[in-house]
Amino acid sequence: MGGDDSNQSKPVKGSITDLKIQNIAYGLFRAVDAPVTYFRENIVEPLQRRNTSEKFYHRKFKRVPTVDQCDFEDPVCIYEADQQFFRDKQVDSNIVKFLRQRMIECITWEGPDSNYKCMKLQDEYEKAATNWFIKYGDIRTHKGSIEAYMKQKHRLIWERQNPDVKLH
Amino acid sequence: MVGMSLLRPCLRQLLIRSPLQKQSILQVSVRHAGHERKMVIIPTKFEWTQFKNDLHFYILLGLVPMGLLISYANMFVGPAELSDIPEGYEPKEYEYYQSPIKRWMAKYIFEEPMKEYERSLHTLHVEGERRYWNMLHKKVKTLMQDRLDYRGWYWVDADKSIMDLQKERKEYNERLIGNK
Repeated sequence: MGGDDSNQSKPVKGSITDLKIQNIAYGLFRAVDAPVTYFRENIVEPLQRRNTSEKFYHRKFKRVPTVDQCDFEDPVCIYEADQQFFRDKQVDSNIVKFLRQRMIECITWEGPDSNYKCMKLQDEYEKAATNWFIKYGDIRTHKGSIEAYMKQKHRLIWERQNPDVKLH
Repeated sequence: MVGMSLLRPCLRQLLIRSPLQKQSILQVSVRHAGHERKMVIIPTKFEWTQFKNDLHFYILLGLVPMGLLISYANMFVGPAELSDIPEGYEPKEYEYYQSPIKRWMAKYIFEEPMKEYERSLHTLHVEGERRYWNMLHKKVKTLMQDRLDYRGWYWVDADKSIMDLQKERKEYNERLIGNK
């Protein structure tokens, strides 16, 4: 806005940045979009605004004791711990998914510059994925809480016995 | 109609006497039935007919009713708004969904996940107890079988009454006779 625009690229005639072609593309888009948008904004949304009476909520799950606080072979406690483990696994998987998506979008957008422009996102994603694999990797989906607990125990013992080797 | 048209010529036929007249007035109804027997070879219309059939079926029984239902649900009933759970209020199961169709299904068709959860917990508990008692039973039985030291499965009860009678008789005889 009134600054130095000489570094910005101007539309080049004949390429896809040409204003004529951009306008034609926009026209085609609007040919399909305009009736739909008109219908939604002028007919559907006023009707919906008149009928707002119902609410919906997000489900809240209470925390139950984890598997290390359960008795041996107490099926109820172990089942609840398994379900909680599965829910936590879903949450963590989605977190990793979003980080991965951010990284991919950065790389796709930057192209050749991605090696130094996306480093931070890449590091974050790699750390998150490593931690996810430490906790949930190679474990059963629906009955994994005991397996995860034992995996952690073995890992801590191994780390104690091999103090010089860094795992990650 | 054809029969009636034949009546007058038949009557005329019967009434004439001379054979020459018979032959000249003889009238027979000629039926031009059918045409040359030919098999007309044309390309198949099966696929086009099937396509029209299927299109008609899926549009009128699928698209139109579902489209009307979904439009009604979204325009006139409307999606729900997201809001915080009020203090001390336990939302019902159908209040966890946004779309009116899903809410209806959660209200009238599906069972609450909480109910299923609690029911599975109950089943697990009952079966766990059963398993515990079964394992205990087996353990005790094995021990008794090994040691044979407890009045249980491997103890054979003998009838004491005969031995008691014999003992009494023996004592009676000893009193009378003495034990030598």
